[in-house]
Amino acid sequence: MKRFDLRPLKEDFYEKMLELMQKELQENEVAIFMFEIGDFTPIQKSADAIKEANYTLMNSIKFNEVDWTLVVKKTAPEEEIEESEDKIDE
Amino acid sequence: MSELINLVIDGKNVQAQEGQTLLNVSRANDIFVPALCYLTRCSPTLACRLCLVESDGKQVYACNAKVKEGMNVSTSTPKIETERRSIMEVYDVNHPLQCGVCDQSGECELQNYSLYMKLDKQHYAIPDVARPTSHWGVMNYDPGLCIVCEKCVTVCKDMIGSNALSTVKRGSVPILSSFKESMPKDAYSMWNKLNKSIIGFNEDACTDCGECISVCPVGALVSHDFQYKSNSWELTRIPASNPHSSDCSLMYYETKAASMDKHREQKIYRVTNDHHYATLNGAARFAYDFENKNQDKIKVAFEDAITAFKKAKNLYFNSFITNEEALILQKLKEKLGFNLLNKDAYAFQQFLKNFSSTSGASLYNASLQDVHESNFVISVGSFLKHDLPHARYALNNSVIMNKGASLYFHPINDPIMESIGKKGKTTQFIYHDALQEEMVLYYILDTFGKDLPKEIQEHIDSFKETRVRTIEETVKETVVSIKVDEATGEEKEVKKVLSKKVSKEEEYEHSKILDAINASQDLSEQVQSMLAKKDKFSLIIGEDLILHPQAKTLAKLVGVIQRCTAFKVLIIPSSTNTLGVSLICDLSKEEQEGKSVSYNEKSDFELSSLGDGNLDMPALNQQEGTFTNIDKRVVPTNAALDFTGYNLNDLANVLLEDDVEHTIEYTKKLPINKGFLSIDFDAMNNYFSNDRSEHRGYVLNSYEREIQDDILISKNNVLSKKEEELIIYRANPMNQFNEFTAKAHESKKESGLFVSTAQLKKLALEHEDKIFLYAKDLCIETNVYLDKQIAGDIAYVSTFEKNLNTKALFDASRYAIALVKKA
Repeated sequence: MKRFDLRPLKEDFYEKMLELMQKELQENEVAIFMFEIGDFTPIQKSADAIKEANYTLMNSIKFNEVDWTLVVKKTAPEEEIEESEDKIDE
Repeated sequence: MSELINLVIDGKNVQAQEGQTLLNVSRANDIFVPALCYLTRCSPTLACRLCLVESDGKQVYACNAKVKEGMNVSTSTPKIETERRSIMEVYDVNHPLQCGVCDQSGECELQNYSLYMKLDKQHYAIPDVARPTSHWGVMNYDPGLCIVCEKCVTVCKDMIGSNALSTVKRGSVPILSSFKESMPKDAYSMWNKLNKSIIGFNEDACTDCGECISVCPVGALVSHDFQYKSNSWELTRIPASNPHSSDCSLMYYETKAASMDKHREQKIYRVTNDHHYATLNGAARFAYDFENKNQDKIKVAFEDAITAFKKAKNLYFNSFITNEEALILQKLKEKLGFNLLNKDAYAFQQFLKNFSSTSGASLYNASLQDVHESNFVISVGSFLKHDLPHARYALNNSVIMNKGASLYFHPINDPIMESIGKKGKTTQFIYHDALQEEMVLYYILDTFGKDLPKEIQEHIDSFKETRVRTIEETVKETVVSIKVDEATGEEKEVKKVLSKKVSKEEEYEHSKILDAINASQDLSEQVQSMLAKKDKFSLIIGEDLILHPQAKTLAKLVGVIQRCTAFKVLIIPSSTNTLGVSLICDLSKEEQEGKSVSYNEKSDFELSSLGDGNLDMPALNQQEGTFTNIDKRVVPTNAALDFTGYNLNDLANVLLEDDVEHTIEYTKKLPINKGFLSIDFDAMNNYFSNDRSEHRGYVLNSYEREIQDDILISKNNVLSKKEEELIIYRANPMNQFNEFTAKAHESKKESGLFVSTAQLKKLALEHEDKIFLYAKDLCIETNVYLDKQIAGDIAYVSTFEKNLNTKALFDASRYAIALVKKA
C-alpha cells in the first residue's frame, strides 16, 4: 500500500494519479490518494479516470472540509454494478 | 401522585409512572437502550429508530411508547440488532474521515455507537454530493458531518422556543432501489429521509444560546469560536454553576494549558452542559473568560484595603458574588459598622418581606422545574428572553410538552416570545402600558382567586360594570309555501327550514381592568378556553414589579396570589445571587456620610474582580463557593482557574481577627434562621442522575409567616410622555448580564439604546448611529442599535457597561422617559 498527496496539484492531479498507479504500484497493490475537493467536480472525474484505466475504486470519501481521499487497487474491477439496469427509487 | 405501574424490562421488574415512555423508564432503571435522536424533556422525533425494542412480541420505538401495566419488554433481539446495525452502517455512509480533527471526536455518538455495535463492514453506498459548510451566528454547520437526527431542531423548538432551525430538502443522488428490498425496513426509511434532508437556519429567530451545539451528537454543529481549538479528551471538566444569571444551571468549565509556551497557565476553552437535564443560556456558554488576570499579591494594596475598610461608612456591592462572600461582608458590617448597600438585593429583600406578609411563607413556592411541569403559565413584569432565558425555556417547554397554555404580560412587544405555542389559542401576549402591573395582578386575582381578602375583592369588583353588546345569532325558521303540481293542478304545502342571522342585545359583565391592561373582552373568553384540562399553574414574577414605584403593594398582591389561587409563584432574582445576598445580608437603603469601599462597584476604594480596582479579587470562575439560585437551591461552584492574589477571606482574617484557611469554610456557617443548612461545601453534590433527579447542593427551608393583609391599594400609575419623547426600559441585550459577560471575548460589545425596526424609522436613525440620550437632566452620548427581535415603541437601554453611566438615566423603576437626538 502506498499513499500519495496530490493536493499541491490542485485540480490538475489526474495525469499524475494515473502515472503513479502505473509506475509506482505493483499489481494488486493499493494506493491512497488525497486531493483537494475544489468545486466538487474532481469527485466524479477521479472516479471516471480510475474506471477508464481499468483499476478498482475501493473507496472515495471526504477526508475533511477541503480534502478528499481515494482508495484504488491496481487490478481490474470484479463486477460492475450497472445503475441503468437498476430501478432508481425516487 | 398517581399509582405506579409494574413492568418487566430485560427480565428486571421495574416501576414507572403512568404516561412515562419506555426509554425514560429504562434509563431511570439503568437499562441501556441506544438512541441518537431522543432528548429528555423534548418530544420524540423518531429520526434514528435505534431505540427499537420488543414489547410483548411487538416492535415499538421506546422513545414514544408509553409504559403499560404488566408489559414485558426486551431491549435486544437478533432482529432488532440487525436493524440497529444497518442503521449505524447507513449513518456511516459517506461520513467524512476527519475524526482526527473533528471537535466531537472522543465524545461523538456516531463513533461510540459504531464501536459499540462493532461495525466492521459497510454494506451500503451512494455517491456523495456537494454540501458546503455554513457559518451561522455563534456556530458553524457542516452538512457533510450531519446525520439529520434533528436534535438541534427539536431543542430549539421544544426547549428554547426560538424555532430557528428546521429540516429542509437537499439535492441528492437517489438510493438504489435494490436496497429497498435487501435492507431492514427501519434502516431504509431512515436513510431515505436522511438522504434528502439538511438543516436550515433562520438567523432572525436565533437567540444565540448554543444549545444546538450542545445536543449535536456529531461534529456537524460546532461553536465557531471553539472549532479546531482542542480535542475533547485533552480538556479537564470542572463542574460549576452559571455565574451570570439566577438559574445557576449546572455547567462545566473545560480547561487545558493555554499554549505550548504557557503550559503552566490553564485556560478555559469552552463551557459544556448535560443537555438532557440542564439548559444553558448564551452567557453561561460563551462568556466564560472573565477571569481576573491581575493576581499579584501586592502587599501595599492589601494594607490600604485594611485601612479603607476600617474607615469606611459604606460598602457598595452587587449580587455577582457567592453566599460565602456575602456572609463575610455581613460579618465585616457587624464588626466595623458600615452600611451594606446593594440596590438590587435590597429591592428583592423588601419585595420578599412584603410578599411573605400576605403569602404566609418566607419564600415563594415554585421552582423552574415547576414551570417546566406546569400546563398553565403566566409571566408578568419580565422581559423574559433577556432577563432570565431559562424561565423562557421553561415556559416554552411547558406549553409544548404538557399541551399547556400561557399568558405573557409585558410592555415590550416580543415576536420571539410570540413564536411559542399557537398565538390566540394556546398562548396570548398582552402588551400593557408601562407600570400597569398592579392591574395585571388584579386580573389574575379576579380570574383565578378564591376567598380573596375583602378589601381586594371590593377593589376588583369596583372595576366591574354591566355592559350591553349586540351579538349575531343564527336561528332556524320554518317557511311554509304553496306549490302547485303542474300535472294535476293540485296545491301542496311545502315546509322548508331556513337558517337566518338575527342581531340580539345581551348584557354582560365587563371589568375595566381589561381596559387598563390593553386587553379586550376576548381575553377572558380565550383564557376560559385555554383553561380546559389544566391542573398545574405557575406564575413568573419579574424585576419590573420588584423595582415598581408601588413595589410594596405589588409584593403583597403576589403573596395573595400564592395564598388564594392555584398558582405556584416564582420570583426571578435579578442577578446570579440576589436571593442569597438578600437572605444573608442586612442591607441599608441609604448611605452614611463618609468614606466608602466597594466590591465590583465604584467608590473611594474598590475591590475588583474585573482588574480595574485598588485591590484585585478573584472572579467567579476563579473561586469555589455557593450561590442561592432561583429554585431556592444552594448550589456549589468550583474554581476553573487559579488565583494567586488576595481574596475576601484574607481581608476578613485580618479585620475579624480570625484564621479561616479557605472561603468555603463559611459554607456551613450560612444563617440557619434564613433557611440555610449547616452543610460542608465538600459534602455537596452537583449532578443529575439518570432518572432526572437533581442532586445539587440543597434546597433552602421555607418558614411560615404571620399573615397581614394590610394592602395599600395604590393610585393608577401612568408614565406620561410628550410626542417627541420615548419610553426607555432598563435591560441588557441578549446574553449580556454584567461587566463580566461584557469582558468575555465572544460577547457582542454593543451597548446603548436598542430599538425596534419601526422605532428606528420613527426616530429617522440608522443602526449604529451616534446619539445623545437625554433623561433625568442627564445627557449620555452613545449608539443606537436595531433589535429585530422586538417590536413596538418602547426602547431598552443597556446597563452592563461599567463606564457608560446609563444606570443613572433611571430612578428606582425600570421605566423612564427619554429624548433621543442624533449626535
